[in-house]
Amino acid sequence: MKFKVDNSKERRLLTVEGMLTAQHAPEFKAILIEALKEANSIELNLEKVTEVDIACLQLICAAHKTSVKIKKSLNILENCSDIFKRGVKAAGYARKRGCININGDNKCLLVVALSKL
Amino acid sequence: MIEDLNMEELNIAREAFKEEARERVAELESALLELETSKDKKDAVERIFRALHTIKGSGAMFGFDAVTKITHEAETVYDMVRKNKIEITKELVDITLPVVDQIMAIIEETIAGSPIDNVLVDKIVSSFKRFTSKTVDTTSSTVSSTEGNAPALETQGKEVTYRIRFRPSHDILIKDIDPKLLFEDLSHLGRFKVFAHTDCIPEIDNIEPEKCYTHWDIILTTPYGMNAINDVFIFVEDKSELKIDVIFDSDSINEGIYKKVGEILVERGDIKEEDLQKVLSKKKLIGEMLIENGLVDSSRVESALIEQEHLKDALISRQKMEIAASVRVPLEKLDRLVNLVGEMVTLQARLSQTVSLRNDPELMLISEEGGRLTEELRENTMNIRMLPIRTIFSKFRRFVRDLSVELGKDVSLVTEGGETELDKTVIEKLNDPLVHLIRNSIDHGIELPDIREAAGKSRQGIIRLSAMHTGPEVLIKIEDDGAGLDIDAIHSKAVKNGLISENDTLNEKELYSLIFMSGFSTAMNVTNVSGRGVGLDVVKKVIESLRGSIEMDSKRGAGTVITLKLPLTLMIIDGLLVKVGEEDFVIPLSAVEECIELTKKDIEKGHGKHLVNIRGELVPYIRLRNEFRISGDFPEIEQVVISRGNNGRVGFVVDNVVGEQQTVIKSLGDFYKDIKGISGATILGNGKVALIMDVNDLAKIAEEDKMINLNLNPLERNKL
Repeated sequence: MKFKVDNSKERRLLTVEGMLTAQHAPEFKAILIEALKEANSIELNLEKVTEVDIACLQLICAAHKTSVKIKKSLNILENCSDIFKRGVKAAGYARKRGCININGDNKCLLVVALSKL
Repeated sequence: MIEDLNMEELNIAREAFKEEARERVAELESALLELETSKDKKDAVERIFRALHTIKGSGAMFGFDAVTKITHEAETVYDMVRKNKIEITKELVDITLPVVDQIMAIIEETIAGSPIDNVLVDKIVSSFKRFTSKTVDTTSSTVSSTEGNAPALETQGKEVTYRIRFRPSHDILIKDIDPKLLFEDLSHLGRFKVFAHTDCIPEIDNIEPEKCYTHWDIILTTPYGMNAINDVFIFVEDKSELKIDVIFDSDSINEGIYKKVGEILVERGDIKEEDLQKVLSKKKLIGEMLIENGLVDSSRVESALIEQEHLKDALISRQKMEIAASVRVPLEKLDRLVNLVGEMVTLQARLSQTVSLRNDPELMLISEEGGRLTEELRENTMNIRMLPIRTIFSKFRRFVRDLSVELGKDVSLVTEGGETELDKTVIEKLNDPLVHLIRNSIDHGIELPDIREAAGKSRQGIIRLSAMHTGPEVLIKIEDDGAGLDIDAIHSKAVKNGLISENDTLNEKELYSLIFMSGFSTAMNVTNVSGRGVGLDVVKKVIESLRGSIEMDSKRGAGTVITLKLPLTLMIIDGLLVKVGEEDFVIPLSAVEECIELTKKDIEKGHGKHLVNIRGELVPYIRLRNEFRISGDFPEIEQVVISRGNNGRVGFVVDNVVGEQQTVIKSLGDFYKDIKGISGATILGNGKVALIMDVNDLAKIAEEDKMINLNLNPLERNKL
């Protein structure tokens, strides 16, 4: 897996290429933590993700929970790969509404990302 | 289950099983090969076990008894491997690999109604039994529970819907068990929906990536009983919370299904449907009210909604008495659809053109909308024909293994981009060329282990097979880290065979291209693998028949790269519509580089030669008017479409260029199939036929007729 980070104070674009799986999860976690700390708006470009597993889906979900709590924006670009979309669906993470307890606005990162699933 | 089906339905179901089995068998083969190379054998063994288990289950369902018998025995052995009761050995892999082919052969034979070779089946079964009998003393309980006839998955004769609540232990991911695979197994049992509860996932600072915080609700409608479901969770149930409840039984289909008061009133005509909907829209849904009151969180409501939706589907499905997750359609029907869509695309182009001339804003809007829909329809229709290239990639792992063993070499195949999609027809025709190329790489490219070691390389050679999209094309690369091509040997051989003369000085690319000529081979000894000089010329022909091209690059001592450039589809191309007199022609847009004007002055400058000067470069051109013997006067200013062929740039002179055109390729039929320079025809929006040009062929014909010279020497260039 390859990570690419495009920096700016306001917006940070994290591009992930290859396998978004457990073996890369610690690195992915560190990058997410750093991005949430440094930037106000984070975007995940998952266009070239070739595999995704539960470990990394949990990390995306966890990062989103944190972003809502600290009032920052975390989004997945709509160009995410079909493999990623299918992986999300196969893991049961595809949903129509978000976790209202946390963000109150009834939005979920994956709801938006998978709107075309 | 099969007893409920008539012959036609059974055949359809068996065909569907064959397709599924093909995928499973490929997975089985890939995992077996991984056993030999991968350090972590656990994952490969799990995959083998699962593949065998699935084939056995589905095979039993559709009456493939011999398949069930074999896979049952193999499954038993690999179950013991999983449980560390027997060790994985080369012998076991060698026995299992041929089974991969035999399973598919038996499925084909059963479908064709041919007799099954029971002697062979028994032989395979006994070969596996040898492994289980070796450990009978220590594993008596395991063996006895699976001995005897292979247990088929038994149906209950009715469909039941289950709610499965699965909360795995936190360490399930550490144990390398992917819950997605369990869900995939469940999906083979029937229709199912899965919902992940994410409420226990902590925030990013507190999460431990290797732990599983997710738990799932699964709704499954299946004709198989509770045991079949438990079987899926057999490896994880010890440390997981698993609760399986029946929530719907097709026998009691009417229980609990009652009409609501509003529905009865509408049915009686006491109120109108619209009025009912108006009132209901003002009312809050129970889920929303419960969330607002803080009694339940939204994910639990969504999970319940999924269950409700699934039950509704189960009811509808029961009423329709059919389950259709996918429809199998004969390829001819699909081709007809693609043709119709293509004609619609052409018609739409004509419509847009006419509308733009009318300058009617309303009509323009409708035409634009029509254009958008047609484009979407075209894309969706073409996608139906697309298949991932891994369907053939996966076959080569076995091929590489067997061939390298035969040649005493150590070769590993690495594949990349298996998800790249290509038209079904292209994929089918690609198999043989790839076999030839990989075989050549192993036979001529990769050196023997000792030689590699002496050259400072690793003993194991690598062949990398990759695919990727680049615009409207797919690039397939076959790379090896072998000896590379011997340019001197190629030159000598070409001279010996009379392909070139001793004094000819060719650059590397030109020398490599000689390899694709008929009868060329540099192998010192003719083996049964390669070296007979047939193959690469055939490869080139097949690739060109697919409207593709082939390129070779090599570095002595470092390896060779062969690149195949192929179109995504053979059915529709982007073309450039041109006119000569009253005749229409289409030039594939992928071959077009630019269009320039040709004046009488430009022609005079050529001193009788068909050459045009483009920014200092002399490019030969062909007059389509002469080539196709079209009478009439040509215009004062003609157009030259500059194209890039296999042997360089060449221009085609036409009267005028109409514009880009989505072109549906139609075959010219058997009678005209051998006509050179034409790859097919298309029907235009006005009903006229336009011929589709094969630029490489046309350039070749013109060169043979001495009309043009594609290899201008510097002296000739300086004349102009």
